[in-house]
Amino acid sequence: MLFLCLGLLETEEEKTKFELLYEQYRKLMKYIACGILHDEYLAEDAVHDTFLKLTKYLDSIETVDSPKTKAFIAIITESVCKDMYAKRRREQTTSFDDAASVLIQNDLFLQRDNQTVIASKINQLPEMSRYILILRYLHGYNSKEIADILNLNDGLVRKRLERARRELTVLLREEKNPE
Amino acid sequence: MTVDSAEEYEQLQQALELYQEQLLAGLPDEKELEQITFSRSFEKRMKKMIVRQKHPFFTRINTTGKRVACLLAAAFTALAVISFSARALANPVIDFFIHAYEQFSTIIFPQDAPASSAVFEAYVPTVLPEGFRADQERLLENLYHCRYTDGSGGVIQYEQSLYQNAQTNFDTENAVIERIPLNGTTAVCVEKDGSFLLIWNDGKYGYTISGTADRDDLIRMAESLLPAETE
Repeated sequence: MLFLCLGLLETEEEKTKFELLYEQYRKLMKYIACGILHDEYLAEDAVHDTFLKLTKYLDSIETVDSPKTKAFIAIITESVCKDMYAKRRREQTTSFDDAASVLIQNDLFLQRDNQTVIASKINQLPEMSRYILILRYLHGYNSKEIADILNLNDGLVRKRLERARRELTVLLREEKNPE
Repeated sequence: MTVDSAEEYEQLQQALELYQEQLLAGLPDEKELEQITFSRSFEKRMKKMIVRQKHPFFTRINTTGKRVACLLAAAFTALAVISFSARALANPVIDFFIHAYEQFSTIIFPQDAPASSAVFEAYVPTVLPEGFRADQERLLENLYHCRYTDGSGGVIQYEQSLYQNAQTNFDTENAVIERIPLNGTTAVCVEKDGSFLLIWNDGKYGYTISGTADRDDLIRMAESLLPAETE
């Protein structure tokens, strides 16, 4: 029988990219998910849901094996897991900051000689705000996309972004012109 | 106040990159991740997702039950259908198979009497949606295929094959399927996630047009088929 199979995915590179992302990051994603959900099967569900979400953002991922992509994958995985965690606890409000993060522990904050005030200030921001800043300034997503990635309300993202930018701008200017 | 100077923007980016470095430093290395394993059901789900990513509009029938159902239906059709005119064959058979297979993912055009003397004559669309140009073309013994692109991600695929032994697989989950009159026969139009697939036959050839262009544009394309110019 003649078998007609017409794919409509835009480019060959995107098909390969998804597979490569899966092969490269699935174990890391499960590690993160287990750390938040403490349940292996739920963790696999979370990883599956994260990959579903990733299909929307394949275009924005330039290189599969890069620190930027790794950070993006880690953030999006954590966000999906926290959403799942919140649903399990039947909470209505966002509990982004409730579930313990496995991505960075404040007591593991690396002290560096060239650490600037601004860098230390970023670490003091709520985790959500940090992720919002990373997704906005390092990955180039707009507030709507960030809201989708982090399962947040668009208005909340804009508010947090504006507040964080305001605080950091003051610090940047103080650092530049100390009185 | 906003981060509005280039210098401030750069400083912020540097600080965020430093934070991101710390974030990554806290993640386990490859050796630690070696012990992470996955259940069979997860691997199966992900395999399906990867296949769907490769062929988002068409998915293979991959369950034994569906294959058995297809074989039974093909056998039933071969026994039931002896001789029909091309038009009579097209309409009732298409109706039968769409009804039977809306739950599954296959449209089967029944096996016709072999046309040993059939000479394949390619028909090409002469009207294209705005911005689309032929990108890739293949002419084989019993098949013509052409891919059209508009330079900004839009893709249309056109394929013409000898009618006998034609089978098309596609994902009907959450798809809208309708029958429309086209070129003197009845075509199947499948809409799923903003993409369209047109399938029809004229008794000699089976045709498919699929793409992300406007439905009416694809229909106009289908209506504009003319014999390919011979050099």
